[in-house]
Amino acid sequence: MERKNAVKGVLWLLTGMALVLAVSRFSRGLGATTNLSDSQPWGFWISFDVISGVALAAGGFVMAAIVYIFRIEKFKGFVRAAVLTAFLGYIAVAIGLAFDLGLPWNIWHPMIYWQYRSVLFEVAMCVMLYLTVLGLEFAPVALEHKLARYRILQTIYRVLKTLTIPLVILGIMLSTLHQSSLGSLFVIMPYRVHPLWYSPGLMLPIQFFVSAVALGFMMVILEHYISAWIYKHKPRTDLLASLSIPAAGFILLYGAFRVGDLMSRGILPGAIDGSWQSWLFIFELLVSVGVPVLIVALPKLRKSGSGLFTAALFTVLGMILYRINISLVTMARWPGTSYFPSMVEIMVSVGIIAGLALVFMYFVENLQVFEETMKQGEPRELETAEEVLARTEEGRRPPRGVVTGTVSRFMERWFLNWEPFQKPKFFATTRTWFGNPLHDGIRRYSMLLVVAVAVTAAILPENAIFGFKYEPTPVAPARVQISDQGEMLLIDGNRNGEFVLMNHDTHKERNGGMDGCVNCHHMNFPDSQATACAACHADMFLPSSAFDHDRHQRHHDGNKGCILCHPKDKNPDNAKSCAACHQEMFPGVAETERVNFMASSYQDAMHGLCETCHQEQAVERNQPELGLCSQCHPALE
Amino acid sequence: MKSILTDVTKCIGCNLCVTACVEENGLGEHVPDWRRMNDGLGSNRWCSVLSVKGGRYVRKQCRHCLEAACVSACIVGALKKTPEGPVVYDPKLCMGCRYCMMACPYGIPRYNWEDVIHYIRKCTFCYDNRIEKGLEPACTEACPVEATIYGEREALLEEARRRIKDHPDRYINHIWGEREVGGTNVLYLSDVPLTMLGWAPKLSEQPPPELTWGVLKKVPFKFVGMGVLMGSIYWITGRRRQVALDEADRRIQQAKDNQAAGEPADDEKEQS
Repeated sequence: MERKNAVKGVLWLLTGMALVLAVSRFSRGLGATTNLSDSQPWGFWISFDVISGVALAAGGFVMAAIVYIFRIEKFKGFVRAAVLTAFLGYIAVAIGLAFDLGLPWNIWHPMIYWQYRSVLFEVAMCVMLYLTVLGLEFAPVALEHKLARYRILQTIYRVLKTLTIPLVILGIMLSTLHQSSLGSLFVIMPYRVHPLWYSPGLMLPIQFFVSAVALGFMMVILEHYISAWIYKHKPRTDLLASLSIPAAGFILLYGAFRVGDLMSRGILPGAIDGSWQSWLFIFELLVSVGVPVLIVALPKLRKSGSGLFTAALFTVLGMILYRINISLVTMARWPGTSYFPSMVEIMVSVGIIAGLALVFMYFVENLQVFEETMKQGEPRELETAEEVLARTEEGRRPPRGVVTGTVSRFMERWFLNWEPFQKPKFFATTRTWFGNPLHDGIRRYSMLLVVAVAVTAAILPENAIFGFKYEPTPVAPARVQISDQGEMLLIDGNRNGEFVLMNHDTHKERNGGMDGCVNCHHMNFPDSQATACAACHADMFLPSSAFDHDRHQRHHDGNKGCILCHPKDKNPDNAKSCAACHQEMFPGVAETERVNFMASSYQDAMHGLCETCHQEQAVERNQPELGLCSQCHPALE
Repeated sequence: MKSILTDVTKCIGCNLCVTACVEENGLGEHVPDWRRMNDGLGSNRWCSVLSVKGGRYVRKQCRHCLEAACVSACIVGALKKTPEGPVVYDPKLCMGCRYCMMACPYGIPRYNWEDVIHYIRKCTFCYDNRIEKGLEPACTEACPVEATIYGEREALLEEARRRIKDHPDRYINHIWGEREVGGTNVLYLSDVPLTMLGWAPKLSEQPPPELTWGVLKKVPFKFVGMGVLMGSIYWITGRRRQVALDEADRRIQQAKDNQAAGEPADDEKEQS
């Protein structure tokens, strides 16, 4: 299999997974699909997709500035790819945001309902405008395609070409604003952001902007190496090495701002005090500043492809880490709560990137995105059968090395030679291909998509399928204790092993002696002297069914027994009443009409029994302490 | 400005304010869940009574700040400060971005995570159903011991100062909400420190919106400045290129002239 097709296959798989998760998120809501909470309202989607995503798309304005404003034209070959990456990156941001918003159909509201005192408003407006500018910057590339040969489109093409410089300058202005304003978002949270990351005033926006510029350079390098690997181009390490020098400059500037800011506010000792935040801070600076600057500073490493790739990768990871740290990891949370993104959150983020990577590959293969490597207008010569076969053989030669060789031979033998994946055969005499239709790209990728959809649907967590459900909080059955005060009932009110005392004798007295038993013991199960409240009130907070359908079904030999209770239709409304079989359970109660009634929750039942009387008595006897929770919950004292 | 003064020393923790709030606003069932902070507040509990150390009960609710962080953070103006004081929410404008939840120094706005369509929920000071009709909020009306009372902010501050003056041994000499984050409309008197109400034990007196505005007011200068900078660099690089091209043209022309005159070109002259 060709490398780019393998990559596309993986991307289709990931996209398919995200499609299922999208259905789940929009039909079941955020509570059912994410791990977000009142304590952590902004999660992975905001930190990674939006705040990091915008910065990862900074390559567009950085490269445009270098080539069109500073007129360093040897880098012209990188501009189109950088602008396309930026354009798709901002679309990814918009899609990620739509997943995260509670009311995504109101995403256009900032355009109408202005609230210019909100930083987020400024970010939203700039991102929307800049997305338009990027679209206009990239449109000429699309209009060069032979399908766009209509006169009107060509007129637009010429207009856009003449507008290049104003568009580039406008793009840089908008980028400066929103790249820095993403940092200003956190200025309003001085109590939530950790002091090692928080800084009042203009420091946060400056750090965000400078790191975004550095990230822009390094993203161009990283993206060039990745597409060179996929399309088997020779990477232009010579050019990229000279691009990495200003990048390192900006990284150093960023590092200086980070450390200098801490020093000027006198909290630099906090960075080495051994708390986990200080280790994280050091690790982050090492990844984002230390390693890349070191590599770029050494000419030998800088001029080698792998060295430069490593530097770019570390910068990108480090700057993403910075953004995730400030917006997620070090953010203050309510004590006892924690956050880790759910499978849905991670897979959706990955899927959005995968889907847009497919769009990127489509553009690269159909438009002139890499100006230097693809020549326009040259008709592709027809290959002879021998050439095709030679090329195919070349592509199929197993890689060397023990592990990769074994794996690829295994794949070759058991997987690729499996009929749907077999290569079609070329018949030179008729110049036609014969073979399994599954080899056709669309069919192969749609099959992968279907597989992805099926697999994801199968492994979805329960909540993501059936909607939000509270986790049941079980209670322990009541215990009876005989003490010198009489019979005391111990009730685990807080379901933490701390029992509430209930004087059984006084309750019996107050309920009218032996006649009042049924008030509490309304269901006398066989051999049960004092049915635990939890037998019916099965959850601390949720109402629950007192009727155990499964148990009855098992007792009556499974489906054979249905008819014993359901003479006609099988629904709860026409089922036999409990008392029809269990008279002994309802002393003094003639008939219980329905079996599907919901017993009130444990807390409601208990509080309903005690609280009303307690509060009445508190007023009547003028003893307010009777109404206090601590009257029955001594732990609250 | 309408305000609420809660005297922690008087509260008996009976939760009648919570019950009244639930009935007044039709809030329904509340199931504690890990998605909610364990302070009793949630999308359908807009006030709660915390049991704190020292045997005291503290009522937690929205503080209706004078300069509210949530109002300044809201991207579409769905959260508004009304002239009477309450901070109210318009679900029709909201897009559910949760920036208000992040911005609030007290962690008050909550989200109905359990539903499919998500809105911000928080105490409205009973603005729509009571304040506009000239009534007092349900919670203060329900309080059996007048631990939480309703009135004009200035009058309540006077009352609070009077209580501290009359019983200096009974209270900590501080009115919570008088100055923190620029002042709030919900004030507290207490004999135990109320550090548990905010995200930090001590909140500064500077309103959070001021922090943001200090950055935001520089935005137009940033915008224009970057434009001017890029425009001038473009002009300078263009000019330098033009000069270089002119110079090259001039040399070529000179070389041609020299050749025409039968003299060796500049380069050859230098070599010789």
